[in-house]
Amino acid sequence: MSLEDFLAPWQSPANLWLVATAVLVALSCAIPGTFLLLRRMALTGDAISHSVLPGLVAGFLLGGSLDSPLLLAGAALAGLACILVIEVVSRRLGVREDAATGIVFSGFFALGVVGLRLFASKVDLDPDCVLFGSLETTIHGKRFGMGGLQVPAATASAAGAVGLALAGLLVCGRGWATLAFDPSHARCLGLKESRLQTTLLAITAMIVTAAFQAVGAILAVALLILPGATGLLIAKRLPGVLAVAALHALLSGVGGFLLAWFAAINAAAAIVLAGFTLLCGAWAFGRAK
Amino acid sequence: MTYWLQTAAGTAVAAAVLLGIGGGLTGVFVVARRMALTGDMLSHAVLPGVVAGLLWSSDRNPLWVLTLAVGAGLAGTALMLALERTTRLKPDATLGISLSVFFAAGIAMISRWQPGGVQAYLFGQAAAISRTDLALLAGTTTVVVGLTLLGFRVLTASSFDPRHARSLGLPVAWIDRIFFMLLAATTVVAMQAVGVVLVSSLLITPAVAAARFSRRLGFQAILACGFGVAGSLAGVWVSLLRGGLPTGPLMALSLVALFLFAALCGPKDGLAWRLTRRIGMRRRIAGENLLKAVWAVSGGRSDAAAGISELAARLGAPVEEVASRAGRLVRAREAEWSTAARSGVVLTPLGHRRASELVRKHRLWELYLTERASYAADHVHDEAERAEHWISEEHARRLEEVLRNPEVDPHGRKIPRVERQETS
Repeated sequence: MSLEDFLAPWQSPANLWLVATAVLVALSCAIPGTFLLLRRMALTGDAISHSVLPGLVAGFLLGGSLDSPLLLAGAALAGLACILVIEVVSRRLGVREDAATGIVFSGFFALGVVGLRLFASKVDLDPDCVLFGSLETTIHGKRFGMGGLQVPAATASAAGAVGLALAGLLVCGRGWATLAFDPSHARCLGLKESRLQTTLLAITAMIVTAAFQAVGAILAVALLILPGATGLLIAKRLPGVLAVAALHALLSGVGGFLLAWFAAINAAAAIVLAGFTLLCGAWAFGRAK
Repeated sequence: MTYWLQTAAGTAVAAAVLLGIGGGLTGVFVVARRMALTGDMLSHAVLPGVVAGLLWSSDRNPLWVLTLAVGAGLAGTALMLALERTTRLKPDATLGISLSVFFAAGIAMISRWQPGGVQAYLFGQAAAISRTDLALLAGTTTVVVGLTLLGFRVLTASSFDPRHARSLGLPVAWIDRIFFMLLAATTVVAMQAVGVVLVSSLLITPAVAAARFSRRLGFQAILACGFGVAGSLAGVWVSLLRGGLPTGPLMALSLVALFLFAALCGPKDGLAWRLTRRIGMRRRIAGENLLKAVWAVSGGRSDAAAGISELAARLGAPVEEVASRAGRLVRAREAEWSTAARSGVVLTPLGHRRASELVRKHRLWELYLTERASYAADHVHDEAERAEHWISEEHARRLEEVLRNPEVDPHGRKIPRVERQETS
């Protein structure tokens, strides 16, 4: 393969936006994902990513378009509602937590799919992209003029998600870390456990919503878990874990794009596969158990 | 084959019944083994195998698809276990990684080679299942149900207490492996009907709903099959009524509705029963408080009447409510409407006895707290106000013995005597 082959994909501006969006989406998921992982709530992320669907549909019906802020609000609320219902089912009804999660998130997802089909004429959401997203088409959507650049809406919302994740990290990062490593110490410090946790879950829900269009419900789970997991395999301290996670997000975004380009496969799936390759590298060469 | 099976509706109904039975039966063990989310992982991890099967067998032989899919599911599980054993990642993380990475591999294969027929596995097409698929579904369900029923006791033992099962000489590791294969096979055939995401609802929801009715696994299994069949049939029915609505999600939603019904009306811990019990208890306490209030207002004499407005003032409750509660006392023959004063009640001998029992319990408990638990005399009233409703006659007698048949409570008021022969 010659140098030109490697340079070819970088020539078109659409591809540059694609890479930028991929990296931003991966980065935004990596931050809350790492903390979910530390709290052993990786599967809560799974539940959230499935349950935002009915909220998306409802937001669509109320707001009328893909760019409406109602969409984000509705989806985030649905994600939080799912967590709440899981808690009620497992605490009040005495159903074991794993079973409760399975029942509730599949119920939410089913509701979303039925809503999607019921209002198919009004909701402009491709059922395919619910499962695996369509990064390639989302960047061809609406564009905003921003400082002389025509930024695709998908890229802008991914950048917003990164901003949200960074803001969450700055404001609550210390609290989340304390909560993850030593909940009783966090309580002694007077940290509000439930408030911190709700913030984390709300931010996760919003970020997953932003990522939903690009990568779909299931692959979003990979973007939440893989960077943090790689970080945990390599670094020992939290700042290191976060740095590795961010690097992982960056590399898997770029690598995924290249993989998608050369192997002609779905970009979202390629990002996940690239991320998994990185994880395997960390697995082989990283810290021992 | 009979005629109805050849229609689309007939096929869908047959598929729903088979899925309900297979999903319900395996689901009971999945829930008992705390593998609910493992089932979810499995349904995602089989995707590369499904795609490979669709690609490489030219006639899309379902048996090939099934075999390769089960293989992929096992590979996904192996990845999960390997990560768990060799790294410091926790089970939730390894499960999530295995689930999403295998799914991504499947999606990548789909987008690369675009095999036909894969849509059915992603989104489920219970309404459009072909006859070969139905035959495979019937075969798989028969094998799964047959093996499960044959090894029911063995499977139960290894699910609940693997160590005990091992000490009995059962090959627990092999039982686990065979169960896992059966689960993977059930997952693959269920996927075709409800799609990749909703398989777990077909497995878990009926089993959890069944667990609310019985603690016995055998009975749970029967119920779970019943719920599974009912839920899937309801889904098919609704989608037939409103063409265009997807069957799989409707099945999942019907199953959730069944679960909610079970959670509300389950015999022991159903919300409805708990609520009625709580309301009954609250009503009893309110009645007993009113009885005491009547006793106090009438000065403990059985011939004096207590006015409703006076009682309301004493209890701090609206007059109408006190009146209706008084009506309940009258119906229980513990009081009568007074003839002397308008809108008042007089205690009957029965009511008088019950009221003095309550006052006795209250004052005995106050005395016990001050004498034996070193409470201050002005701190015991609220405690006793709660305890008087729970102290049984036996308990009260023990208190009397311990306190050596006291005459007065800590506030110097007389403790009413209750004739032993009269107590009920």
